[in-house]
Amino acid sequence: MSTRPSPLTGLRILVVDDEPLVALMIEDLLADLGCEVVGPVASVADALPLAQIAGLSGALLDVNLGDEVVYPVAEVLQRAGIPFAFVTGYAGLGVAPEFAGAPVLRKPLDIYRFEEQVVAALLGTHSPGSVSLIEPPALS
Amino acid sequence: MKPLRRVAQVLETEGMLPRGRYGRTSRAALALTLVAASAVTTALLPAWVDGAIYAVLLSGVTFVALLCGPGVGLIAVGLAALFCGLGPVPALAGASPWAVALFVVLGLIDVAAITFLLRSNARTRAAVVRAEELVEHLQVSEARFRGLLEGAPDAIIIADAAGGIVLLNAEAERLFGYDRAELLGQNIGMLMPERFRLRHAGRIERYLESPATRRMGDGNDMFGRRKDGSEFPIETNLSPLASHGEMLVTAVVRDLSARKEIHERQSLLVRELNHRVKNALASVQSIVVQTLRTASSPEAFSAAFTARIAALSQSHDVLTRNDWSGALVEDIVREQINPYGATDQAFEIRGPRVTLGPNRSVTLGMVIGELATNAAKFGALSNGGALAVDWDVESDVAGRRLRLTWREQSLAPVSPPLRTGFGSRLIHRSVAAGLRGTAELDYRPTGLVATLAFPLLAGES
Repeated sequence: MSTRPSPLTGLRILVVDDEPLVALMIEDLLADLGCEVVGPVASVADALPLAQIAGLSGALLDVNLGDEVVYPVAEVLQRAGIPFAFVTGYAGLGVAPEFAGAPVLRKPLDIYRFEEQVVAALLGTHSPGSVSLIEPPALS
Repeated sequence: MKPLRRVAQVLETEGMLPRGRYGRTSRAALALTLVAASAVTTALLPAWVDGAIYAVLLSGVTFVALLCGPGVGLIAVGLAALFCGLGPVPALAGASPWAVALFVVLGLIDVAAITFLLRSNARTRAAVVRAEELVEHLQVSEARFRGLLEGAPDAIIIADAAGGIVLLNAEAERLFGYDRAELLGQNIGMLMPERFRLRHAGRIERYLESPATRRMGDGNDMFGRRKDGSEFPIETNLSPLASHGEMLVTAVVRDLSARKEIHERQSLLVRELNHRVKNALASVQSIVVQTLRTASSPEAFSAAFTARIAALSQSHDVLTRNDWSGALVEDIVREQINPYGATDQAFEIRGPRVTLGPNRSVTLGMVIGELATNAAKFGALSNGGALAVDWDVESDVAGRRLRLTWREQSLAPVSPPLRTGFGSRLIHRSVAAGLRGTAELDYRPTGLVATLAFPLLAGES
């Protein structure tokens, strides 16, 4: 979609989402930005080995994966110092207190600000645990 | 006939006559018999029994007064005196007028004594009757109270100002798991979790200083403690009860476990619904974005987008019919191809009964919907060909797998538009991510053959 080079180009990003259509969209959006997508996977069991592969630059994690939550994956990433952002439909409510500071992308995604949001979440000054909530754009 | 009735009444109350069974005639006959018996006895007395005649007549007067009342008793005294004065009996010949006068005085004293006796007896009897009525009334009242207490659906516990349990009902026994004897006299604090007992101490006295019917805890969560130590949520209403100059407090305790459960279940459902709505919106967004990428024109976008939204909606319809518990594979397939005329003979849908979970039902619905749209646009359904969908369950060491085959039989050579583009990606990726299986799309000259294979989860059968 974008013609200029993105700061995300060449990054390996893990995508975890149990909704196939959403995973597909995120994969496409990241691929457009020149990212190498790891996954998408739909469960914690599938995501844990991928969270530990070499050269992983970041991750986008859907909080609710059917019957389970994605937090074990987030813990692994946090320990490894790999930045990640949660993707959830619940505005601020869906994230456990221990990850309350992690960046959150809201569903449905703002696809026109997707790059900006992912850059802020994964390449910004955030380290996992720091407070930052990416607000959706104001309606105009 | 008042005197005769009285005889019968006295005999009745003394138990000598069955109550209320004898009419006036029988009563009169009885009284006459008594008077006659007395007179006959007197007449039969031999002459040598000097003066004894007065004693016999006096006892006759006593009986008549006793049975017929003071009025008739006085008449009997007069008749007896006349009898003595006339002297029809040999023993009375030449009776002294002083003796007759003495007899009359003794007779009057006798009647007076009997009158006093009868009155006092009547009063005692009336008191006994009133007491019996009162006891009966109390028994009825007590039975009603017990029925109300024991039949109450809530636990009712009455305690004194110090918290000592005075009374409790069957529901209180059941709710807290104690026998009545284990609780009576004990402090009501033993029915609370320990952490509340200290705070509760002295509360009853304070409550009784300004008693009013009110809810305990002022809306705070309250818990009861069973004999086994387990706790459960309760609601308690207090009311004061004055008894024998002492103030007691009645606590009506209701178990809130069921209500809490319903509340929690409702919250869960709302969260679940919210999750599904958000998922549906995110899916719609994905469909928009992806359809837009591959659409060649606004018209093409509109057609493809509408078909995909319809597929999503139809998947939801199937689930809604089953309260979102899951859906049969056959229902999922039929729902998606019905819009294209699934009742036609050209369709063959066959497979065992297999139920999928709700999310997986939606995913399979979207995949089948994509295949159906494609077939209607470019495949067998665009040229009057045939379609067969069949599935079966295979078991191996890894578990059970469902293998579904979509087989089109085209009447004309078909182009393979699914080979590239969102449609084919959606199918592959949905089966991979949503069903953890694989999809193969095989374009044969005779038409598309799609094979979906995915494992069945626990509970899917």
